[in-house]
Amino acid sequence: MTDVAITAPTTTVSDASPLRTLLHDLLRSGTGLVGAVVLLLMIGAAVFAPWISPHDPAAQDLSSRLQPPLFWGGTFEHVLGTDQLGRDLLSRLLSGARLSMLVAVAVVAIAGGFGTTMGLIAGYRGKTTDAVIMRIADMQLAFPGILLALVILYAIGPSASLLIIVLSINGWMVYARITRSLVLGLRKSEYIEAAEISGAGPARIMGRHILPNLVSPLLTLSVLEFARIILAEASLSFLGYGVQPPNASWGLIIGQGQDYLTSAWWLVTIPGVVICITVLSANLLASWLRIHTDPKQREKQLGRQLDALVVEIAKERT
Amino acid sequence: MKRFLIKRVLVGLIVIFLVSTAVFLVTRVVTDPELAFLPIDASPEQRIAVEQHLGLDQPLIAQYGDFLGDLLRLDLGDSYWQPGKPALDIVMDRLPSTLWLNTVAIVAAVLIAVPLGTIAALRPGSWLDRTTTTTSLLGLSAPQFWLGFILILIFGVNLGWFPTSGADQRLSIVLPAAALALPTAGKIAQMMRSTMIDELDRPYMLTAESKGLRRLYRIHHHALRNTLVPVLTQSSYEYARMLAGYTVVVETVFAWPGVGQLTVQALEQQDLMLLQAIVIVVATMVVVVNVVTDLLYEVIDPRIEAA
Repeated sequence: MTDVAITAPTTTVSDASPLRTLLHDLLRSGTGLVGAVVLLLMIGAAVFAPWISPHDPAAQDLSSRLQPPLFWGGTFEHVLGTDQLGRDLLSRLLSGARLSMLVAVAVVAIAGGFGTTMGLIAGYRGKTTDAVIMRIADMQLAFPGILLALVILYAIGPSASLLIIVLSINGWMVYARITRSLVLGLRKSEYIEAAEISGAGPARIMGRHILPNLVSPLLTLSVLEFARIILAEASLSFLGYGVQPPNASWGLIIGQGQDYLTSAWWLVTIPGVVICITVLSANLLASWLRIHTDPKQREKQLGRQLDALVVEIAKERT
Repeated sequence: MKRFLIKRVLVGLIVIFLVSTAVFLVTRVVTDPELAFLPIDASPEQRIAVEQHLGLDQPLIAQYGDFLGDLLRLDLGDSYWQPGKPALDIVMDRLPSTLWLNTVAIVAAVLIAVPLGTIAALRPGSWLDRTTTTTSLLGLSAPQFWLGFILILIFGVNLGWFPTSGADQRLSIVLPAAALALPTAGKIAQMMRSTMIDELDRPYMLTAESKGLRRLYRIHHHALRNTLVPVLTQSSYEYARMLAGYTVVVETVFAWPGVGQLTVQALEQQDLMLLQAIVIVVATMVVVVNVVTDLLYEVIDPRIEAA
């Protein structure tokens, strides 16, 4: 990360190398790779849902309602079984993936973009601007966010787009806080001072010198927030104040299936497993990213390996 | 410390004021509260009569002034759903039940997380670490309401060990508390692990080792104490998040008669006054949790007093 920062002013075109290194390292990591691959598969399934879906997710067929999944004595026709209206669960999950992921990605983009901008401004301008922005962020962090979101969704009328807006308003603060603290640390560094002395304006310093250093930590945070939003969306949709039928989202499918918990357990269990797998993969990827892209953590890891090595050698000698 | 505390209380009061204003705006401007009282085919005259009765014909600023005055007198209006009953009383009746559930859950979460995180930290990278870390990651990846259903299926329906709904029986609390505690335990365990790894790396641990203190003693008497502050911070943050959100879904799944279930009932009954009271009370609880946490810091870590 530090390398990038120092070379950033001179290299502009060949900046693909850090990304390539990252990918190269990811391919050699265990859990990080698993997380990334599963997450990519999920996103792929969501994007290509209309083409790979075996049935129309909204098509009802009352003659084949509440059929069990294939591994529970069901048929190949409905691999994951059907719901109370005879809709194919796999097709519903695929279509639900689309909305659940869309909401999560949109919220990460909006809240992340706004929060990062606020954090940059607060960290760079300092003084009153900083105080005002961070006070607002701190206070909003003390709000009962999900409860307020629920009331707003109810009052205005629940929909996927309102869900995106409400969760974005509720999520920008973390980005602002992290960005600000990073900027404050970077501002004191010598290379920023050098850039200032050589006449670079605030916009240039932010865009060219500070922002590149924020990419890794913000990427980690975004992946973590993606996981959090998937869970928040599921909860709100489960309660009936998120994504509305006839659309599907994972939380909504569980909410609609809860009355059949004992007779058709798959309607609640399987969508939940899908949520778990998605969130777990995002968390695995994020924790790999955090350790991998943080120079301090890498140093520590290396130090620990060296320590272990020294101990080994000492043991062998005695 | 005193000045610091007064400042925190003041900030807390501002937060409550802002949250109240937000709820006021949402419930008065965005929606038509009078609709809850009217039949679908209400005539314009009926509508105006109800608006006058509720004071909704006043200009917004006047309504807001009345609202703030009432707020100071702790009068949050009568519930629409249960006419004649103050909304605040209904919420306060349900609050102990929610606090009990969430407190049991957070205590359980800490009791699970601290040993789990410590064990993982003792040998980073070992199979024990990998197992405990993956378990805690799995826990924090599960939505609480879904975990609730799974617990009902396994321990309620199949094994029949615990009651699955209501709060009448002695063991009723077990499953809802578990559904709230497990994801939180996962989060705290992760944090515990990384803090403990850092702590074990500190020079004072080497000093303790060279003094010939036993490992268990070193961990228990030296390292564990220093991890308490971050664990407390994280736990109180998680407690606030439970109160302000997760408890709604879990109480709904288990029909637990607390504020969370009341929230969903108020939404179904379109009772805006009750919703408003719920949000203000919950916001106050979150502020109280934060201030109490600040107080606890001083008890745990005397160094903080100086700051």
